[in-house]
Amino acid sequence: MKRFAVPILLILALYFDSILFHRLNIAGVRPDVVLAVVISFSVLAGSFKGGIAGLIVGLFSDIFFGEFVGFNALIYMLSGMAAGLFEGKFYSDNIVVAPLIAACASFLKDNIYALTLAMMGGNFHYASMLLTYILPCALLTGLVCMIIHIILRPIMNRQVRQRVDYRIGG
Amino acid sequence: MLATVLVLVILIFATSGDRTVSWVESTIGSIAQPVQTFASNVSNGIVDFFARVFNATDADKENEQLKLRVAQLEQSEKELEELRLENERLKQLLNYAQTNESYKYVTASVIAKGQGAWFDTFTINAGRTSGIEKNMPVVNSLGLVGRITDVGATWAKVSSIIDSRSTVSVMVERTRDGAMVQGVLENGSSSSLELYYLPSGSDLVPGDIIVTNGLGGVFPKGIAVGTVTEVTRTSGNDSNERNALVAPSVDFNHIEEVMVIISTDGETE
Repeated sequence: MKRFAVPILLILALYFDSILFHRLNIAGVRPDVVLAVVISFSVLAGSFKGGIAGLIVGLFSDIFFGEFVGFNALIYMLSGMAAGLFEGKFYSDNIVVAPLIAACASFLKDNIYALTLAMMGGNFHYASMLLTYILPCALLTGLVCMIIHIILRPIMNRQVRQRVDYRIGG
Repeated sequence: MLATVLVLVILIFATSGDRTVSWVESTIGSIAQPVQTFASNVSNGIVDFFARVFNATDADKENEQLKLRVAQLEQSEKELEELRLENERLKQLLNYAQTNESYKYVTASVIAKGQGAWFDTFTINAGRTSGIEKNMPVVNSLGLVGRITDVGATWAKVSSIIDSRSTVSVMVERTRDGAMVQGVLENGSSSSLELYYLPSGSDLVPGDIIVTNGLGGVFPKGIAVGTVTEVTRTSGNDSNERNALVAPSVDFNHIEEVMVIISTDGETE
């Protein structure tokens, strides 16, 4: 059952992001649940697995709901790989590191979206979006990541401990 | 890793322009479409639940507690209410279709929205097999919704007119002056329309109705787009200056069913 925990969380996250939170949000502010799951998983499982998870869920997200195929895949994959650099027993026990990375990744992702939209001739006010959308979304994503990390940590803990034991044992 | 990044970057560029949906996307989308429809229906129930909780008065709350004891009855009530509302919305669409008989429509439900606030797009549960093609106009009983941007076998993606990249050729219904509206992303929760290129000295007042003028080859003439809420310039030479703010006719926050105009028998652009 535990091996299905991450795929189930990712599918649920896709549902939350694209269907539920579009209708249920606070003044348009909604967390990026997929990003939160990818970051939490990467901190616990490492760069490679995190990058793969980000790539797969990003491709699904792009095909079903995205504007361009590969855009979210690239962002989620790189976020997962970057977050995976923090892999290790010390960091995985810490419930602040993953949310902090998730908030930063959300901030960067929305700024990449803003830049892309500006390059495509989109009509928007950046300052207003920064204050009313980008920053609150980053904070909310961090908060959601904290909850996900608390859920995911004990599930993944056994695998992390096994890896650490293996490293100590040489 | 570098190869994956390179492939993804190529994919982004390949799929960002004017293109047709590949068979892989179409097939995956068609397989997922029933799941998305189910998930969308589930979210309706969740949203209704929260709406009732937050809108409840003291009496309603007491009533709610009582209702919780008869959960099964409440469930039936919810389903009936959902059906009643759906029936109401479909009746409105039917009325619209009957008053605009020169068009042929395909009715579809909204099953998913684009993630985030940057792009105002959504997916509907009808596609190529229903006769839908790229660039077909999408409307509902209140007015213009957007246009089809991608088509799969049983699904299609719609870019709404409030998307910040969208432009629609329009006219002021009262004065027949031509102009153009562009979507504007104001903040995460609201998008609206801005009116540009109104002729110098044009008489525009708040409350004026804006309709499509049929130019541009996508939208038929005379479909309601919005109402002028604020006039910011009535005359001048700077054509890039915004002329007015326009409130869209369609409530984009509560859009559940739409109609795709698949052919126009009479007047087209």
